[in-house]
This record gives sequence, structure tokens and C-alpha cells, in this order.
Amino acid sequence: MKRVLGAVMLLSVLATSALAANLPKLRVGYIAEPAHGLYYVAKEKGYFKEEGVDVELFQFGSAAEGVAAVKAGKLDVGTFGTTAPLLFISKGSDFTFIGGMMINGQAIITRPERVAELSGKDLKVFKGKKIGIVKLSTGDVVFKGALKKAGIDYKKEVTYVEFGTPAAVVEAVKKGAVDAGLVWPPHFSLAEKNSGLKVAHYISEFYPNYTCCRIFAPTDRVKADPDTYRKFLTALIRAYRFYRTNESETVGIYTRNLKIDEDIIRNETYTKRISESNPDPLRKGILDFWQHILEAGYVPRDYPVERYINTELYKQALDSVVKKNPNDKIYKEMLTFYRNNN
Amino acid sequence: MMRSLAVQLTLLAALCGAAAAGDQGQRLRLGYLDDPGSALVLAAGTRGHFAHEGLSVTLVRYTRPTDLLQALGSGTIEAGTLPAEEALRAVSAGNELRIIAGGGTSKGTEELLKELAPALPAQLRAREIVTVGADTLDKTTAIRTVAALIRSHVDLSHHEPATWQLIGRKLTQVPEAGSLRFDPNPDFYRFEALWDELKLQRPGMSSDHLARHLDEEVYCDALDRLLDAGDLDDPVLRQLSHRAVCIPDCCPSNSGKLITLQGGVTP
Repeated sequence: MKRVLGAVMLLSVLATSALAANLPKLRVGYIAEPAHGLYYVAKEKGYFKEEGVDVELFQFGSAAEGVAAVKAGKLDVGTFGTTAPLLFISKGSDFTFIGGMMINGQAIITRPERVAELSGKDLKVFKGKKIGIVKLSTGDVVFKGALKKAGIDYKKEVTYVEFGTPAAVVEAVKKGAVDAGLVWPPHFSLAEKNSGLKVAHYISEFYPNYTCCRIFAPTDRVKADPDTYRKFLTALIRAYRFYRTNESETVGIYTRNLKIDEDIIRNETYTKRISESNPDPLRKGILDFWQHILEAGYVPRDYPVERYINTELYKQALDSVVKKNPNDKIYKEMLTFYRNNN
Repeated sequence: MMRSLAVQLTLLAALCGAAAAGDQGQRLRLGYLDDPGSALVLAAGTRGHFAHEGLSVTLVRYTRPTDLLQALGSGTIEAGTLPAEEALRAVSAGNELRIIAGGGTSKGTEELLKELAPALPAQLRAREIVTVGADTLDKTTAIRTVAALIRSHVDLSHHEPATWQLIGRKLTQVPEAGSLRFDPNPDFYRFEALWDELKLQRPGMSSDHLARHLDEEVYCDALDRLLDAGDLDDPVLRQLSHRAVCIPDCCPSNSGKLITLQGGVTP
């Protein structure tokens, strides 16, 4: 009996391997942000294979290297922030945004004695202040966008001090070289715990649902095989539902695979909901982000980036999931979110 | 006994040779055009910036861009300086060159631009001397080369007359101090304007052809290298960093490491 069971199990493994071997493959690059775990949920829960796509994941240490790998044809999908793919597209790279991975997540940190002064509900508290930034990071771009929306002439009324890394920003805040600093996950958690700094604001308080990391792919591959990319997005939509409804298991999957402390993941993702792992393409958010880059003067001329956003694949994937689960509350929410943001 | 001694001596000589080569750093043959716009390269040689960046550079003088281009193509040199127009035309023609740094332009250009623009912008901008690398130039050497050129730029910004005095003997014509402007940034948008004005985008050429031959990433890495080294805390360097459009060093660089609340990044 044992032998029969063993043979059945072996056959099952072989069948699964054979199935995977026949599936279309996607090589997916990402950076280890606390909110970038949907890929691992989809992989560990078997959603990619169930939808008919064999996904191989590659972690990168920097966005520039990751986008260069997509450009060189070594990756079929990239998840490397918003700035990097936008800059490459504006210089002629033919990439298409097809989805998203993270919404919100940026924080303004300061020294504890400055929190009361800087944590008011009005962004005008930052007038005349010196802010440490990593130039062109999501925090830098959306903070300037938020200041503009609040009617503040941020080029004249706020001083920016540029640093190469979020760690350098944290150090400058700690030393008092700047009044506050803009950093992203998990750096503000680390700054609070290790440097005694405090979060004065999350930028989403002033600018809800801004785009952070987007999913993009080489346009020619998307055009050549839209079905595989649609399956890929379908799996991520299912992973999002899992993430929303299975906190404990999701924290485990994120922690194990992203190699980020469990407390940080739980706190940023679920307790404080500072960022959200969301596969929506957020078309309006991408276009706003590009406008903020232009207005800040980082790029001297406009580019028709709207031509490089494909929301159809995501919508088709979402529709197919909704059709199979017409009463599911999460999928209905995703549909409403899509309608409002694309 | 004698044989053993000979072997030991040979081994010692080999070890000494290896050590000497190590001391000299990574070898690079860099061609320069006999033009004051090549000053960043010449200053990097005479002021020891290449050596500071761990490079052992042999500078080779050329009087004609075509000869320098040919030397790059044949592998006689790995990098060189060229007028922007020649460099872009070579890129458009399919040469596997990368512009890794900007260089010097006559200041008269700027003044003329203000007066005549947009009548002659292409011809004037085309005179800028840029530094190009052959496809055999590896990324690490390219970053170190550009870091040395940035050090030269800082030097020229603070000590221009002294720098010209040092490099003057390598040039047929030495300009007056203050008559040239230098910019080591291979800024895509600056060269895109010239590319468009010269109508170098040809049918069938990929839309990112120019971007693939302008190595801004090397320039950004070189800036980071200098800022991280901390031995060049200078307002000119900070200004270059401010103007560069670099992709931010996004996200935790923790490949294979665990980020913890207790101790930052641990192995």
C-alpha cells in the first residue's frame, strides 16, 4: 500500500512538474519593499500555476539595475518604483505599465521634540522648513505634489536638502541638519526604533492613494502574448484577496520571502495600513506622478506617457475573477477602486 | 639547488610584477583630441585623479576625430574624447560607442546661443567635447574614469589658471582661463536636442537608440562613488549631484539579508 501511495505521489509530482514545464514562463524582477509580497502569495498559494503561468522571481538591490535588466530582455516583468520606468519610457524605452504592486507608504520623520510642531493637519507647517529627501524618490515627488495641491509654492517656500540614500536622510534628521526627512518603508520604522525619531505624517494623509511601485513589461512582449500577462494579473488579483483576508499567513509569507522583520511587515501592512499591496494599475496616479516630475523641473520636456499604460489587461483579468465570484466583497471593492482610479 | 633558486627567483619576480601591476591599477588607454575641450581628461592625468581612482591611464594624443574613432573601433584605445557631433553621428551610424561623460565647450558658444538661438544651436552645441567608451570598456573602469573626470571638473572650477598651466603642454592651443565651460554630465536631454537637430534618428532605429548609447547610469554611479567616499565634500560636486537626473537608490538594498528592527541590516 505504501508503495502504491509513493507511486501516486511521485506521479503527482511528475505531473505537476510536467504541467509547469509546459506553462508559459514569466521572469519577474522586484525590489524587497515590505508591500511587495503579492508575488510570493501568488506563488506559494499556487495561483500563478492555477491561472496557467510559470513565474520565476528575481530580487534586485536597486531600481536602476532592475529596469536595465528589463531593457536588456533578461526580465519579462519589472517592479521597480514609478520614477525609474517613467524616466526610461520618456527616453524612448518601450515599456508598458500593466499593473501595480504598492500604493502609498511614504512618511515624514522628525525628532521627537519637533513632532507637535510638524504634525498639524495643514501642510503649511512645512513652510520655511528644511526637508531631507532622496531626489526623485516616490516620497520626494508626491510630497511636492501634495504641497502644490495645498497651494504652497514649494520651490520658494520649502528648502530641500538632497541625500543619496534614506539612511543618510535619517542621519541628517537625527543630527538636526534638517527639520524633517522623507523616507519609505521600512526606513521610518527603523528610524523610530533605532534612532528615536518619530513619524510626523504619512503623505497619504494629504494625498490619498498615490502611486508607488508599478508593474511594467516590454511592450512588444505584452503585445505578442497578452494572454500570459492577463493570467499573471489574474493570479495577483487573487493574491490581493488572500492578503486582505488572511493576515497571519500573509505576514508569514512576506517575512519569509522578502527577508524583512515580521513586526515591520505586520505594523506597516496591517496595523497602521501605511502602504497597501494592490495590483491596480492606477492610471490616474501614474499620470499625476509624471506631472509632478515635470513641475518639479526634473525633466525638461513632456512625453506622452499615457500611451504606455495598458489598463485593459487588468480590467479583463478583474472581470474574469468577478464573473467567477459575483458576490465576493473584495473583488467588488477592487472593481470600484479600478473605476475611480483608471 | 640552482634550479630551485631560479624557480624561486622567477616566482618572486612574478609576484613583484603582479604587485606592481596591482599598484598601478586597472589599465586604460584613453585617446584625447588635441582640443581645449579635452581638458577634463588631461587634468585627470596630470593631477593624479585617474591614479586616485585606481586607474593606470595611458593618454594618447589625436589630432583628428576620425583617427580617434578608428582607434576605438580597432581596440587600440578603450575610451577617448570626441566632439559631440562626431560622437552622435558615429552612434547613429551603428558604432557601439557609449557617451560616458560630457566635457568642455567654448563659452563663446553660450553667448552666441543667447544671441542667435535658435539659428545655429546645433552647430554650436556640436563642438562640445565628450568622453566616449568602446563596448569593451567595462562598467567599473567606466565609473572610475568618470569619477576622475568629475574630480577634474571640481579642480578646474577652483583652480583653472593653475590647471591650464599643468596641462597646456599637451595641447597645441591653450585657451584663456574662463573662456571654456565644462560639464561632465552626459545629460540625455541635452544630447537629445542635438540628436534631433542633426536629424540622426534613422528609419527603423529603435526609439531608445540614443538612450542606449548615453551612459547616465555610469555618471550617476560615479557621483555616488565620490559622495560616498567623502574626500571631496565640495559645493561644485553637490551642484553636479543636484542637476543630475539619477534613478534614486530606491528601496532596501538587502539582497540576501534580513532587515530587523533591532540592528538594521544583518547578514
